[in-house]
Amino acid sequence: MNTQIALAGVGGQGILFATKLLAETAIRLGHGLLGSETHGMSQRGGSVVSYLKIGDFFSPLLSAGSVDYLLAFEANEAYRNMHFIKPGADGLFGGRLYVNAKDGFPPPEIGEFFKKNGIAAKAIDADQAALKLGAAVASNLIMLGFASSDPDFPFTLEQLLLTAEEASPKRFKKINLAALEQGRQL
Amino acid sequence: METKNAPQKMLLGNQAIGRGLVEASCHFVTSYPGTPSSEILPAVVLYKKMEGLNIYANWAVNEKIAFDEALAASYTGKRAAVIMKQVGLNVASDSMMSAAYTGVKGGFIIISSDDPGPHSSQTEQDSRLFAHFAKIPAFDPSSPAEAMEMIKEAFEISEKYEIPVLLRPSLRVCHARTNISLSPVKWIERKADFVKEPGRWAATPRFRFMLHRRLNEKLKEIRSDFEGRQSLNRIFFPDAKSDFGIIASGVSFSIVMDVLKESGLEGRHSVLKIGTPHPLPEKQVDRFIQSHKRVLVLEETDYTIELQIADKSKLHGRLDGSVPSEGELTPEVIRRILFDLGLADMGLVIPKYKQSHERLTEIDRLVGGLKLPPRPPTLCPGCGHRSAFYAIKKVFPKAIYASDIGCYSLGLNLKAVDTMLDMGAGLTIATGLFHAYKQDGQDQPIVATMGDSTFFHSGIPSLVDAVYSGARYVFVLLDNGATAMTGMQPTPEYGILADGSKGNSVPIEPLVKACGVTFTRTVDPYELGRMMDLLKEAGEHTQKEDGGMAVIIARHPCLIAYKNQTAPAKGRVAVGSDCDGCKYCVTRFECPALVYDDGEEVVFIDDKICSGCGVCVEVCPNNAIYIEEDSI
Repeated sequence: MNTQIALAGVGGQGILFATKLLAETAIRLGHGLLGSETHGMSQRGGSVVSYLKIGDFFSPLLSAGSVDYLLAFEANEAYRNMHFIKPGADGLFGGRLYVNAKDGFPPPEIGEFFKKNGIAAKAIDADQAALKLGAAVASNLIMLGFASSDPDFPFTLEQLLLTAEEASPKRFKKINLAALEQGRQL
Repeated sequence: METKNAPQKMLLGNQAIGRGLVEASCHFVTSYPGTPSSEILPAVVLYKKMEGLNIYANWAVNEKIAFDEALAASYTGKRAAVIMKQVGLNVASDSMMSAAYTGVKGGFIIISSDDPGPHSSQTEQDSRLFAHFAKIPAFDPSSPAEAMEMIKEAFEISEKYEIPVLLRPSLRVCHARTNISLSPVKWIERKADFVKEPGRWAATPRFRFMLHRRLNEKLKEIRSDFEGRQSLNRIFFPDAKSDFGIIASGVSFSIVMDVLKESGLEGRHSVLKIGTPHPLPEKQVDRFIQSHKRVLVLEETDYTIELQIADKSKLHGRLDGSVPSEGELTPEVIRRILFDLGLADMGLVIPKYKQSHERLTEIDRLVGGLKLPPRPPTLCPGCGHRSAFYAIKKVFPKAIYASDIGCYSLGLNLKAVDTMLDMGAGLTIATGLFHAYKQDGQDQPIVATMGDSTFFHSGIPSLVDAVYSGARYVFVLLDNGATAMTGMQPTPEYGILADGSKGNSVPIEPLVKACGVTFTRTVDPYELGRMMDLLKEAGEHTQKEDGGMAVIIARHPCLIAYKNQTAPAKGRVAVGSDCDGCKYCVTRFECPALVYDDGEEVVFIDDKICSGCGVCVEVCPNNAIYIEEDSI
């Protein structure tokens, strides 16, 4: 299996933790894994992107048009990183974009572009779902839970839950597991 | 399909490097934090604890001090390593140049992480060129796993030739995340045993000449040693038919391998992977060049390999402009280089490249039309630095603001940072500016800012010089109790060591006084009014006949580093109906939690990120921001 995933958002949205969760899951399942993440200066409130390449690769960087899943934690970061998404070919869908956004995503012109290029884009209101759970910061795991409902996504909800069980700090464990479950239901 | 007891661990590249040091029995490790190198030392601490090993691992006050301490351990026969970012190597370079001559006893590795891009640095300098300059070997890993393996070989070379060795991981090695197989630690017991040898450890110029000759001999021997090491330098796809070959090292090797594969060109071109860019295995490289008509050299961050190749007539690289001379060699850049050099003619890359180019142009147009808000890094909500900068701007609106490297560099957004050169320059540039104006009889207000960790790093001698030379300006020492930008490492002030144990605290106030400063006040910048009063007082002190330098220590603990120890939120901050949408708070205070609503034309508080510090209450000119009564 060769799958490339990008996670994009801004500092403080839990992107590094979501990345870690996916990476730990890949390794537990015995897949090769290479990724790259943002540290240092760019973490301070700036745009944060992390890459995950699962399977057989040499380099941790993504090329434009190569990503199977772009998980955007915010609409603007979805636009900023949409060049990574793999276009479809021969009438088949290419990469998928799941974005944490309210109604109005994508704007018509961009929606048209997605359609033309065989990119499946879907907006989910992860913030709202996280608020309902009483944990505004859990929208990152809502997103992962939602992605796991895609049959082609490399990991199932159960596999992600298992990793979250192990990787979550004690006080966040319950909320993290609930957020994954909640995301799966959306 | 789940494998039980998976033998692999997921590690950050820097953690793999830390693990590699422990596995190779490194007894002594020092570092000064700097992105992208900061996570290596904590990994050494983690694994030494896990394995129960006696490894000295600590943060030093700056890179030169870290270098010397580790070098001394090598003098005693121990294996030692010093870790820093590429610009840190500038600070340590005085020691490195000399240590190349004296050589070492126990294996000694200098780890200098490069930052092509640059992403978090002031330069894109190539540490491998520094190795060339200092005449020491350089290892250039292409992945975390390779970095880990190279450490073992680097120690071997260092001990065999008694020479310091550079390991240069670049950002994409340091901050890659990957699966790694851990090996057992091969611990070598070594007790400190310094053997006096004045001809080396205390060499005078006459001996230095002989040491230089010996160093040159060592380099020749190491060069031929490298020629035969397949583990470090070898050809991928040696049977490829194309007369276009590629020489690549570091992350550029990894990227070009992926790009060739994705472009359908895998196996069509031979790729000579260079793991030791200095000294270059010349014979191996010459043979490779001779067997090709054209050769592309891909390396980061500059042209270390290319420079060392005598006959450049067949080469494409930075020198002939085929490879850009600035910026990171990302997959897109490397694809573009291959395309421009006509590699596409031999493969399937043309249609794909064209299509993707057209698609990217369309995306640029579409996304450009959205006018996305730029998202520069900002100080965190509730950061004490923001309040300090706000106060400085209020009291000294016409000052030149000399600042420094750290989180507070982000004072740029508040227009409270006019200069930012390198570590320690907040003070030295301010001193220079003061004297340059004073020499013409001009009275130009100057305010210097510098963080606590930077003050320990290189601020102290700069402050001594400011006092000594008679400079008069206000220096605001922004003390958040941590080296925050690089990941909240401890500073001498708090006296906590890298492994979490207690060291000795070195308090800042007496240090400042001991530098000869006659006006020193400490304030919590959350108290805006008091901070502004003190700034005025400080300004007056610089003007008084018997006055001089004035220092204000603006102390508020980093909200991230000291989450549980900082003052509790004052309550829920809210914006009332008095907000007239003047945007004063958004532009002058620039807190990410203050958000201007374009539709309503007023400001609201983003509760998700607001820290509840309440400083903005004092900032609003319309008194529209308040703390909700029932939230206190």
